[in-house]
Amino acid sequence: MKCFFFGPSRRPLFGVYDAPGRVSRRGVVLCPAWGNEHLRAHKAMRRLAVLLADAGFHVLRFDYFGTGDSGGDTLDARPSEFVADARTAIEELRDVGGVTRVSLVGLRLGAMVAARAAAGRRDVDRVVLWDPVLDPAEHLEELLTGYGRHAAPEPDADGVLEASGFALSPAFREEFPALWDADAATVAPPTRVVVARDDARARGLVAALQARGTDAGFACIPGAPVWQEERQFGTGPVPAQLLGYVVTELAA
Amino acid sequence: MSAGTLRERAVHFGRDGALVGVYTPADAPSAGRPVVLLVNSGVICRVGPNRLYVEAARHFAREGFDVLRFDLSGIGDSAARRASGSIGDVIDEDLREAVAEACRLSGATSVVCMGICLGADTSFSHAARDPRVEGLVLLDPYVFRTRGFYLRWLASRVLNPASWRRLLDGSTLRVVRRKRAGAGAAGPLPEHYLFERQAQPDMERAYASLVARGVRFFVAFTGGTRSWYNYPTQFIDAFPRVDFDAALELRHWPEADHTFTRLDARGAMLADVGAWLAQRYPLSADGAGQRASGPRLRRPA
Repeated sequence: MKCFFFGPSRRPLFGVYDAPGRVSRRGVVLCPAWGNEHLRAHKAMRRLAVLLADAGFHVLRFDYFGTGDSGGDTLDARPSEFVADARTAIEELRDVGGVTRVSLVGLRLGAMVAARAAAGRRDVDRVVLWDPVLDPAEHLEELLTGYGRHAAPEPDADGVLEASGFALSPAFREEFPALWDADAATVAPPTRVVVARDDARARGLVAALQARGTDAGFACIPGAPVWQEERQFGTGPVPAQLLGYVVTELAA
Repeated sequence: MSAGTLRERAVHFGRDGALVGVYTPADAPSAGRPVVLLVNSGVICRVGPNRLYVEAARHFAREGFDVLRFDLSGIGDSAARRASGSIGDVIDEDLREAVAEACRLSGATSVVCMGICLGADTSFSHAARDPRVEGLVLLDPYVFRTRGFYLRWLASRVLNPASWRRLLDGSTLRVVRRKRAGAGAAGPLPEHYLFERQAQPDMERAYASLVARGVRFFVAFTGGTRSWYNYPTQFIDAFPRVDFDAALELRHWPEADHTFTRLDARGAMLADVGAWLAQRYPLSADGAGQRASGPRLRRPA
């Protein structure tokens, strides 16, 4: 495993690369969630990376600009630029791993980032949308209210909102809905949607993808979501069965 | 972005390169100053709760301090240690290696360790065994309930009509029964939470020893500790045989929660700690660092 910064100097991104145990030309980029969902899912994403590397993939986890260890303040985070960051990560993995084909796995908001980043790219061969955010307004409400635990805050004088410890800029709120719209149902590579809690909207997404001719599949593997806190330790669970499903689907 | 942020770099260190961290160099020369070492808050990775450690590292770098945030073994991206021994032994070894790496990267000869909760406790424990630790920033460290705590706790209930109502209508009893029924039902603790804290006499001797050695303390308690810390000077009362005097800067922030979720509380904390660091470890006119004697103990308002 190797941790490093990559990308343009004005926009440093933090990445973690796991090499496969054998010669391989296939890679996987993991697109994370945002805010506390990102932090809670860290263990699960790390475990997934290890499993994928064991299965023969070059793997790159990364943090969007303005999140995690990447450069930028939290207020600098912009959903529209998360997609560009994901594409930078794809290029980096191709360079570091010498891969020719890349799969994308996106968790929560990262699922929408993965879907957008895959658009128009011939080198993306598979996409996994993991517990995808399918209603941006609902997701923003979840972030602002701590999943209903408290009232949504009022913006400050600069229009900044506090999303359970993370600053949401007006630009973030304006751009976020556009991250997920009908165009996301044009993901071309074979796509799998996997959820920890059954969701009719997720099934609807798969149906829409299939209607457009995409090889799409759905799986519900019940369990506690990785992006929710397990007890009160600030981290989420590591669902072995769901992670195994993702590895199996990508290796197929 | 500040210069320090642009020059951040990821590091692998320790035995077999198993430990992972991010080094943030100071925006300006920091020669002679200690390097700041950020120790995991509980089992949350080096980014910190609400990205607090990233913000802290960059804030302190702007104040002129090199900073290393890292993951203890088995947390974040650091590998789990295969060596035997208690979790306390593992953490101590990790901290020894982290202090060495922080000094190597910075060129500093001493460190200020900073941590929240378990991060504070492990920093304190390690400092007693590592002469390179010359400062400690302890946020919500473990401290004992004192007589003063119990008096205030009792008074808050006796004088609160709502407490009497809950007692008389059975609500209090139902809560106690629910807590007892739930005890132990949630499963095992993460391994790092098995870290053993010392008994009061041992902790008191450790603090006294650190004070005698010249270690400086910034200690703060938030509202997240109200079940065991409920007045500003409880920390001093908990260790009556320790003459902290000028060695201690003590704060009580009851409006802040345990992980400084609110942006204003977090910003105020970082500003306060940053100012303390700058005051305690000022740069001299020639750019070399020096330790300041600092003001005498200031009891919080």
